[in-house]
Amino acid sequence: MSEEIRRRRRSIIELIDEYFDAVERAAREFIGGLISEKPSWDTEERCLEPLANIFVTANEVIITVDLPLVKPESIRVEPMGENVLEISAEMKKKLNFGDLGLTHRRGEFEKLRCRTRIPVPVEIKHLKISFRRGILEVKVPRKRRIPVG
Amino acid sequence: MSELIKIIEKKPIPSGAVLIAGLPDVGLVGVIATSHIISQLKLEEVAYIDSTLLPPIAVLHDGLPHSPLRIFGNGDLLAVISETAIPADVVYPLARTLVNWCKKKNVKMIISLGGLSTPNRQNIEEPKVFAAASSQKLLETIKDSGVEVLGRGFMVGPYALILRYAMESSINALLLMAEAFHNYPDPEAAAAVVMKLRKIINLNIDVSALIEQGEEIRLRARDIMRRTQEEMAKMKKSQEYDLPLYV
Repeated sequence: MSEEIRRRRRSIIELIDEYFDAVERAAREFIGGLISEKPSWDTEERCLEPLANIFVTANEVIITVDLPLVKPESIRVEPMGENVLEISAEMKKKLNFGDLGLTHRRGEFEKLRCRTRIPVPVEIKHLKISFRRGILEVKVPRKRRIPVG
Repeated sequence: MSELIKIIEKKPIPSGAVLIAGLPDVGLVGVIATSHIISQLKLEEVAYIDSTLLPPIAVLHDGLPHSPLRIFGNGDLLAVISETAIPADVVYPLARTLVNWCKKKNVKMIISLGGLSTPNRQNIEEPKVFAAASSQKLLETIKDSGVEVLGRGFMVGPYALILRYAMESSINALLLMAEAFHNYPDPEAAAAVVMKLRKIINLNIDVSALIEQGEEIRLRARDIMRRTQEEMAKMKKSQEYDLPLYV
């Protein structure tokens, strides 16, 4: 009897796991449907969107952006409000679609630009910037939390 | 499961060849390295991979459609490469199909080229290359090539399964991984891995173009890297950072 009960318990756990897997898949599909896929290039603004990542630690938020082929002196990091950073840089040379391997589109690009939303409150005016091996790193301290008790 | 993925041969496949695998993964190291090898050695397309599990994609070259997953080769070398991110739920059947095909074609050795996620990669001038293999004997034979053995840890993704399945099928398999950016294309890491590969299978390849054109490669690889990032997250690739527990 106890063996049957053990088998039934494993089945319930498996069912719960399957349920949560299905909920996660459905949520991903739903969110994927809401977000319209846009290209990583903008011919009107003549810019390409660089790859960026954001890490949140206990004390700071670290944003890294891959900025190949840019003039380092042209890199700009501009706060836009309390939790958005716009990062832009001019490219060393203009590139068109042909240079990037596409012959059926027309357009030329002269800068890289992206906007990053920071998910936690930060002291955006106290950011620190470094640029090494073509990777921009922006560190922004988190706002101090008020201790309770 | 493996019948959902087919490898369709366009030309005769040589027996006893070495197969290099360049699949989208950390830093796109494998894709960049394998693309460079294919280009430098002027390998021809000998087979392609087709599956209803993959998104409906045709890659156009000179106006002609191709599968995004293709196998190139010459007399004694094969190279499988993907021009699109591999969906996380296709990794199992793809790895199984590829290894089974290698067994059938009497492939001498599978060498997967990849990246080892390294958080402080910005501080590394020359990425180190690490190896894992399907047998102790194979690890011994590559000692002189200057590659360090990856003693313990987790591997996640298509290369992990290729290595496991190759070991089960008694096929020699090697995984070479260079320290690389996790989420950014890393041509320098690709160059490091190719330089070690040269010593292991005596390949005549110049990697200077990977370094000289590195910034352009990084720019062109943004979109495939972005899609690969999404699939790596689904696979929980970050488990490669975990400390292993051995009982």
